Amino acid sequence: MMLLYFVELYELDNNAHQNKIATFRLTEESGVVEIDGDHEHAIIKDIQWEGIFDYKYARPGKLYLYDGMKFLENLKYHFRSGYLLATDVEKKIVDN
Amino acid sequence: MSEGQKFEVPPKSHDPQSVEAVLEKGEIESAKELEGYWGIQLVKIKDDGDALFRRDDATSIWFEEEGLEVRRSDLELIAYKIDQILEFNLIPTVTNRTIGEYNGSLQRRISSFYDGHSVGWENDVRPEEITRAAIFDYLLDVRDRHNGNFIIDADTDKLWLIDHDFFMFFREDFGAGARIVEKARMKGLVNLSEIEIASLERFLANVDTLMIDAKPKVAEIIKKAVDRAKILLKEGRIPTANI
Repeated sequence: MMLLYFVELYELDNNAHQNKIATFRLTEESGVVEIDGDHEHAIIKDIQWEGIFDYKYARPGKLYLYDGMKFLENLKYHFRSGYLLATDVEKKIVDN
Repeated sequence: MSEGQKFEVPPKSHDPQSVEAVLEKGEIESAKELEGYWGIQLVKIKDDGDALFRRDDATSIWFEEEGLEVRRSDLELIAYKIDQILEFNLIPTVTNRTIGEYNGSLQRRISSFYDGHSVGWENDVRPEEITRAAIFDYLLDVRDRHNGNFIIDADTDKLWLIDHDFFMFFREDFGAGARIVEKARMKGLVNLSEIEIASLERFLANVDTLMIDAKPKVAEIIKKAVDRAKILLKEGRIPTANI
């Protein structure tokens, strides 16, 4: 058993329905965020390449998947428009 | 109707003032909270399409921690008003409104869109629109125009700027939150035409109306924009120094 932290990312479509386009997952063991979703999606490709700001602690520089929890907890600030929306960091216990 | 100014169900009249009236007073048919952290609601307005409602209280802690009396809806509204004076038509119509017990900003939803994460968006959008968006971002000294904070109408390739909130105006400037200005510079779209010069002159002529009842932090934003408008007019282009 191990603890899994995750953030879900939703996109609003033309008909005003939200579609989940990715789940960002982090386990205590790995320390690197993994992405479940279409890796060819423009948003997923871009965020891996461009990174995101550290909104929470206002530290200079950008955060990337390898920043683990720091990256995960800033996704909700990065995706906040309504057209794209991320959840807060949630957690659940999963099997190894 | 302004280009791209459409609702999923088109409003009865399409000029920005009519859209404003619909957003301010239209009968709300339903309000559904979207999945995600911020409690943003998709609001359906009877016979007039839908809009996104962003509650002020969801983000008020950011402002309170800085001791600011301003709220997100104030920032959304001043950005929209300045855009209207400039006549750039870059910001979807937005108003302040109370829904249920919450005050916030209600903004027309762009129904068919893709965002700045898509490779090559700058080749789809009209060059003058990139220039005007870059002028707008320079003028307001925005801090967080990343690829998710502007969208492009998928039917018309019209550019829309969104998310004029705490982080857009008050985030510490790490020098990397100005994606559209960067694109304008890369593509050599930094020179002002007669139309943009007239827009900036109109902005300067209307500053007093913007300052009426402006909260101190909003007044600061306006004053900075005045200084930057003068720089733009003097240089005839967006300065090369980073914003």
